[in-house]
Amino acid sequence: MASNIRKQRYQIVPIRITAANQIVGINVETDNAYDKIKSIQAEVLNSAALTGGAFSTPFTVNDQVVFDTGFEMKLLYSTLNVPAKDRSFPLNNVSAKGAKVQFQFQDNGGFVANGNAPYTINLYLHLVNEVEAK
Amino acid sequence: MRLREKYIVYNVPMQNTFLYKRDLNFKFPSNVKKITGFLISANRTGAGTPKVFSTTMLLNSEKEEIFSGDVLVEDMANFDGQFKFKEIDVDVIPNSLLSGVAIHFNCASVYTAKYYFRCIEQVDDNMVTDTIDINPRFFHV
Repeated sequence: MASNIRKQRYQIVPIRITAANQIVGINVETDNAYDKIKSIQAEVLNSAALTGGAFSTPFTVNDQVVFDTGFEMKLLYSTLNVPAKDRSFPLNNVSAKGAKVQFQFQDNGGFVANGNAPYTINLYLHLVNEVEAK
Repeated sequence: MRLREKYIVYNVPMQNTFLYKRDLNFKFPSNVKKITGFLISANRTGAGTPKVFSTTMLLNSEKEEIFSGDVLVEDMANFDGQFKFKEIDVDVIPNSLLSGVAIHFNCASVYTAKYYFRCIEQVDDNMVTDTIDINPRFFHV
């Protein structure tokens, strides 16, 4: 019998910053059809917006800390100089299966305060099933 | 019991003086078993931000040297596409203390150096937590 198990999905978590020093709280569940979060990737239109912006509460998956408070969003970002297949920040053995992902992100204030437009960071959670994760 | 990866961040405030030297003192949580990588970042960018940082890190009263030498300060100014952790492999005993120094040669502004450590921690799945989260979608009558 052919398997209907889907191998992977990129679940997008948007973080919209409209004011300097804004704090955005995120509380999402991962797609229940996937076993693991294989990697994570941040994308933004202007990378200068990421300077100094960091998680103001720990990034947790099912209440377990993956990234500590103060972890800068820029570390999850890479430019187009990096091959597409290498651009995602690898996570080791983080369960998905409807996992609760929670964190707060705080803008560092400089980018929007200097007259730049509000921006959105799209956080891509690369979800995979066990077969694919191996 | 199982092992999982976690990223720990320590903030080190730095002054804008020539050859500024600061002592490091980080205490790792008791469930951290291993350190597998580190990265140093400046929380600002632009002219005057140090590009290279000299640091020494010793674990548990100078018994074990984790690193000694110069590292690139990872910021958006000297960014070549992707921030990279320096790979290390150090076993950690419970409540280990990391000591050492951080030195920059010149900097135009006050800033915070961030020391990131990629750690392997031990997780006790039987540990009772003080919050219970029940999702009704998973219950069938």
